[in-house]
Amino acid sequence: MHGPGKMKLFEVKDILKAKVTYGAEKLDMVVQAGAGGDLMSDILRGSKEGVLVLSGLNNIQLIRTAVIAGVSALVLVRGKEPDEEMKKQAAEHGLSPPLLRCLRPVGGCSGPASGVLTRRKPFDP
Amino acid sequence: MPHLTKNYPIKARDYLKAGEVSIQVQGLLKSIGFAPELIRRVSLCAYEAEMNVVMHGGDGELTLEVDTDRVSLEFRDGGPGIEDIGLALQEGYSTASEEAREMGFGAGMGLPNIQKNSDSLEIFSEKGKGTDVKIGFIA
Repeated sequence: MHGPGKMKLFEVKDILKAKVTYGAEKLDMVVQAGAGGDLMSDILRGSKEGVLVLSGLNNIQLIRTAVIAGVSALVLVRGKEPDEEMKKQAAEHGLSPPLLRCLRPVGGCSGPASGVLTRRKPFDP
Repeated sequence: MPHLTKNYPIKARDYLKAGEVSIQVQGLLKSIGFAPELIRRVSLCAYEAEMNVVMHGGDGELTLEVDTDRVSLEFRDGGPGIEDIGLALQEGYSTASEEAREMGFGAGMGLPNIQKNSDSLEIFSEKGKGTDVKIGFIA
């Protein structure tokens, strides 16, 4: 079982009612933090290992920025649909993070996800 | 490990390919087996500098040099050059185009991020004659 403050990606997916657009086989991975990033420089700041990034961006550079930053998983908010080139890029880089799509905005996604992470801490040591 | 030198061309304003060179560098350093933190720092700096060439420079080139104890990156481009290097190093200062901003770039953190994540940074630029950025890392 995963430790405090951590959850598996499929749990995040269920909470956000998100759809997986790439990397369904990676849903069992553990994420330990979430961050919102609409600027590439914000996504690049600090280590992103184990971090799920919620972004309103939807372009091929988001995939490359995530690969460079070592982001563990990406959630495209506001129902944005990645285009074929983004999916192709994600597939080409074996290291690419799984890509999820959520209808809510960044704030609407990060609230429920962080709430669950916080609540789980004392109960799921 | 023997000394390794590799050159990578970079095309200005090619946003479809932008960042590919840095991902190749990241993959190469991983295959050599450098520490993850060094790879993170080099990849981040390479990416920020590559995007600067794509967004602001002319067609250019990256020369990567790798030794057991150090990694260095040298970006050269034949673009318009940097008018005021001191200003360009300030956090938040940006001359990015609307196109680049719409993609999520242009926060004015590129050169400051490189400065923070590298062990040495040298910038040579002259208006109208291009830019040469040398970034060093101690492995």
